[in-house]
Amino acid sequence: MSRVMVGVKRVVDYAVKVRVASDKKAVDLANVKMSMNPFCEIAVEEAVRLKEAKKASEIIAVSIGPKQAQETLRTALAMGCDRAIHITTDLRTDQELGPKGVAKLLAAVAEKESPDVVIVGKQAIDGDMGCTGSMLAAYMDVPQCTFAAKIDLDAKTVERETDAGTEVVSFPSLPAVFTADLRLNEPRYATLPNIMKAKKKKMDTIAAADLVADLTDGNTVLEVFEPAPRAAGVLVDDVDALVDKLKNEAAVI
Amino acid sequence: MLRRSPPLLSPLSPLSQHLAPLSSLLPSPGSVLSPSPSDPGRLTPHTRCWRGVHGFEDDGRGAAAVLRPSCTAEVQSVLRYATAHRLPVIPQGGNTSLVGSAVPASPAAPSLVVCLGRLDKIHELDQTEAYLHCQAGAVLKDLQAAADDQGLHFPLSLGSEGSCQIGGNVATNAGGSYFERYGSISSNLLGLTAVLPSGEILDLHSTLSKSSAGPSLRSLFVGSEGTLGIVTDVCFKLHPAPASTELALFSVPSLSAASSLQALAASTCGGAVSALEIMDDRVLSLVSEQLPLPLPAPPSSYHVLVELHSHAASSARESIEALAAAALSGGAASDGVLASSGKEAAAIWGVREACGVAVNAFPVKFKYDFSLPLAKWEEIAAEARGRVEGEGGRVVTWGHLGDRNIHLNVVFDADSSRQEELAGLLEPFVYDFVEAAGGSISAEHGIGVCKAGRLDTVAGGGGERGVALLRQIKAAFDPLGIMNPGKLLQIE
Repeated sequence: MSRVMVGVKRVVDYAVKVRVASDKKAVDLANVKMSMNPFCEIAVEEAVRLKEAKKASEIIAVSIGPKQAQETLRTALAMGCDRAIHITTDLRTDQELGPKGVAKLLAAVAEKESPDVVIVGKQAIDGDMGCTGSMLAAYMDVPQCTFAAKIDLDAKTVERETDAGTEVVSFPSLPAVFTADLRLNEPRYATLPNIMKAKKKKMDTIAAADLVADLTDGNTVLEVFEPAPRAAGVLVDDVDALVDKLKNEAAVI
Repeated sequence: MLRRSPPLLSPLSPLSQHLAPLSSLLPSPGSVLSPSPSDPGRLTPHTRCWRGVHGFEDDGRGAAAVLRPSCTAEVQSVLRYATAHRLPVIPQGGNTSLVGSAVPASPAAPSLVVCLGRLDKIHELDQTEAYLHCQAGAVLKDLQAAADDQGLHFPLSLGSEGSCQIGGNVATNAGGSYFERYGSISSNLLGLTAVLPSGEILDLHSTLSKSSAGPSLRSLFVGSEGTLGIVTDVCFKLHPAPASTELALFSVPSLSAASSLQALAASTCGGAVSALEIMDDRVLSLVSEQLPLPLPAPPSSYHVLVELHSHAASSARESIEALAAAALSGGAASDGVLASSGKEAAAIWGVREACGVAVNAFPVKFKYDFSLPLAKWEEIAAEARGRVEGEGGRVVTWGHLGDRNIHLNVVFDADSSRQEELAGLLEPFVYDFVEAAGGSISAEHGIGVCKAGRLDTVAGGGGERGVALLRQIKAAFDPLGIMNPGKLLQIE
């Protein structure tokens, strides 16, 4: 049976309307609801299903961030992960700590924990970088299966999402890194009894600096700004007026 | 002797002669919509309620015109004209009423449906004084978003918030899910402006909440259902935005356990409880049959949704976990789920809001909205069940546990022509039950045409004397009886 490691990131909640901070250097995080990155939820769910199918022996959830990242890890534990590792850093995980730094940190944890299966979300909805999984596979020097819509460890195949549809690829061996896409599964709700039980599960804390000396990637955010607002629509009186406008103003028919 | 409203509208004049004068009063394009035999159905969104129960289908031959004024002055013109020609006026917001308050009763008599949708401007949002002054046609959701943008919270929230309008909310005294926490319409309404049937403006605008200068005239419009005049502008109190929110759905074995859960929520979460909603397992079955919604709830007799809005330093997460621990160990709940994200919270709210939609899918359905002591909830549901089971009727309940508002719904998979006949199984039983229990036959939906004959039975309503006084008040505002006739008060 495999040992599974899952990366979970704490991000601004999907349902929150983000605002640009007054210095225009970042998104305002004050009093903003934070939740687990939706693709990480899918990664956790997949790991839990592997364990329920007796294909995994232990699931280790790893998160990088401030103290509040522990809340996100508790959610992962309530969903069914066995223990958690919190890598502490004061860097903003939406822009100061990039995919390269995260991949180095996760690779350092993987070296200690020797997982057979590593599952991460295909991207985080804050930075939208979408390359942590690939970089992690490179640092670990293992195969990578990205944008997974179906993972079959026995057949060593992954159905993956592509621009044209889906394709099935095979991977040579474990350990391997998988990145979770939207259709991989539908994550479960954390039940209240499991949230209570999760409080008793083990959570280790490691300072990021103790794992990786250099977390920089050379990127700097110059400015954060909102897209230009869409112009308001106009109401037309009847179909003739609509056709006229489409023909003469928009010139699309 | 009571002064009665004068008899309505005699002699009736056909609609067509009014269309040209009305069009000159409302010159913007699309302001006057009239029935057209060549284009039937065009007016249906305004002549029939969204559930298809009240009002009528526009067959292109009816006598109701739909007017869409663009400003208060145009509302004045319309009402002056209606008064001069004794035309009935049906004020309409988002047309989301559940009791037929906002649609004309019959296609036969000429009537003017006055839609407020174009009066949707927000005049002012004051962060320091925490109020929002807007026109009556503003959609509730837009007001919530406007308050949210400024770091404040609009007090009202209900299932139809994406289409209902704030003027309609005021006129129907809408309740909603946050009633217990943020209060009633009356406690949040700072002021309003209305146009009287004569065309005069009644300026009751204020931005402050405190005034002991005589009875509150603005309160008369709260729950008036368009029978006194047309509300054109309102001013609402805003609340601080919560620092953190959490939502959990508890599986609760019984109503007494639900009551224990409510007490625990009050003691462990302080004043943070913003919503306390209840659904029975029967309505969840109905939802899962009718809609492709995944149900998050582990099976149980009842399900209680608890939402926290925390303003304190201690987070809503800590509070909801403390509540869960206490409820699970003390037997108030057997199981439950926590929404880990805004998306999951929205999905759970989606199930709650789907209750009414699922019921509406049945050809024969009865919707009741009672205030009742919790001890009476199971009794009324059980008795109703006994009365309809023989005909295959299904009784489902949900509601606002916090303010003892039960939505009792009965559905039949029967031909829709049997609606009236099957009503005899339930009425007047349910109304008599509620009257005897000291409840209200309308906790938050209003009276409309559904319950206009029963206003004198509502606890706290003053009985027949109270209704007689309401008639006198109406006559003082609307001596010709043109405002939404037959709604709230029956035509005598």
